[in-house]
Amino acid sequence: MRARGGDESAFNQLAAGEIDRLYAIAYRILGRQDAAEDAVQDGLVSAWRELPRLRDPDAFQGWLTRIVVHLCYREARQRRRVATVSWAGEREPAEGDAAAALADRDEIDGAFRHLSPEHRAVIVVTHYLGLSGAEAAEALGIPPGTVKSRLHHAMRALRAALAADERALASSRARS
Amino acid sequence: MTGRLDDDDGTRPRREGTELDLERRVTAYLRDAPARAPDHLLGVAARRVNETPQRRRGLRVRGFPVGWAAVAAAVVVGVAVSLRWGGETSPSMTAPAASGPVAPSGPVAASFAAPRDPVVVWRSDLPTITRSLVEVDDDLWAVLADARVVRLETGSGRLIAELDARLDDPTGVAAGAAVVWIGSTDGRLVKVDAAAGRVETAVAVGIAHHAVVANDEAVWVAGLSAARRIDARTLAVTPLALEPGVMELGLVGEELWATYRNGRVVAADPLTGEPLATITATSGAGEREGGLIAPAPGGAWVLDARNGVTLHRIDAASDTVVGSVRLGPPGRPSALAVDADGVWVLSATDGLLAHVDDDTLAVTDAIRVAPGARGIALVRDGLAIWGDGGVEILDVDGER
Repeated sequence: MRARGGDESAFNQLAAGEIDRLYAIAYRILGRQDAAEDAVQDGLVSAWRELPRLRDPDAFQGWLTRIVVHLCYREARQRRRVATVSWAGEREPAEGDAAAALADRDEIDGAFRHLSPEHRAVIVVTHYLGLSGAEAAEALGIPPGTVKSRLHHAMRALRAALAADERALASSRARS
Repeated sequence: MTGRLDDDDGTRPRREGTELDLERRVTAYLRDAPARAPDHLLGVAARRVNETPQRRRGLRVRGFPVGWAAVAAAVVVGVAVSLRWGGETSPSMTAPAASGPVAPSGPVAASFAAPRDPVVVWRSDLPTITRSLVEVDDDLWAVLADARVVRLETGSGRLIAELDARLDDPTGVAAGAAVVWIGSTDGRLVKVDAAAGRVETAVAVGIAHHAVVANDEAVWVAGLSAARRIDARTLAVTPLALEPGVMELGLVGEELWATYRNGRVVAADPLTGEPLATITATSGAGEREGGLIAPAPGGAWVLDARNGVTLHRIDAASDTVVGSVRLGPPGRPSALAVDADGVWVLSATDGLLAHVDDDTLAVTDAIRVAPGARGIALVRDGLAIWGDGGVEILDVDGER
């Protein structure tokens, strides 16, 4: 790999092939454009700096994903006191099935934001990227057994958050 | 399991709350988010890459890798600034530059403003001394001095379960795949099934051991006389070729690292214990108990086993010490915990936690802690610290 030898243009070509995937992962874990951009930028810079230490060039994609995922954790910790905004931004009013789909999406969105970054990450690599247990373990930097149990905990936490939101909604309706 | 997610008042359509349905909804939600990076992002990242030097392997100037020579100079400047600003410095963890350097420039001396008070996320009072702690599958497992093992809920510290490991003198603890391994000086290694929450078995490893590390495939234990590898699945015990006298073990990349009293660090084959490389990580001449090791990205942090106060950063690619920072005297680091930016160092005798930055070797944070602390670990909730009174989780991200 020429990039390991210090060829910046070779590395930038690699980065161009990976940046959409990395951004998609970071956005889903962090839920914010600015935070996702920071995580991807820092991840690419870190990968460039540490690239000579990568012993197996075939492991580049998993290694790069792991770097960005861990930088997402850091971003999430640093920004947790900052108010979050919906990633959908302003939307046109919808009716019928479209309205129901949007309501469902908002419901999941609200619950997803209650999860820890680690739980969001395991859901993203499993249900968005469709990675196998071993691939997810590589991307997250955890043992395969932990992927399985963490996914179980994450989905359980998501269900609990959805149920809590439902109860809060029912309660507010009852009061009004 | 949530059976239904529909509203109690029936005003909204009923939806199946099955696992499959939830997975489908989550997948649809994730696919709805942007899939392309903003156009400017690649250009910005490329510009930053072009401005950033790559770390080199083996390229050295007077014994320091090129990048670290500049870093060392920057840290020295940082120390001067810190002192001139006149912040109250800790008398115990701050010291002038050390003599007897490892690298030609010598370890830099740590300096920082007055330590701050801890921000406690939660605390779990336990009935006796907590010897060690590990996080497995999002719960914390603490091993108490009387061989009880308690399972604490992440997020609250609530005690979920209590087991008896039936060991005379539990020592180290390590996490495997949904497994907690507990070592002892009585020569037995206890396997706890974390999913089932029960003691599964005790393996006779044949040596009293104080150091325990594990991954999904195996457990490694070491005492002063010998070291062993235990297959996690078959529980077969294999002697390792490591020299006797191991102080601590660490899994660094695909290698087993062992520290010794004389300041040597041996990188060994994890299957056989045959040495692959030996690194000298000491600036002292004596022999003290120490040799703490904490695997970190690209290598490890090791506490100088001879002087007991200098922390060395070792690069696994070149098997060399690439930076050193002196943290005392009179304080003496007693535990290490690596995070994304560097390493947390506990000095129990000083009642201090300090964070050393991986890139600059500067102390970037210092926290007062109560006497009696014995160990630290980064866990999901924050920095876990345990000892005489139980387990506390500190928020260490907010202030740095």
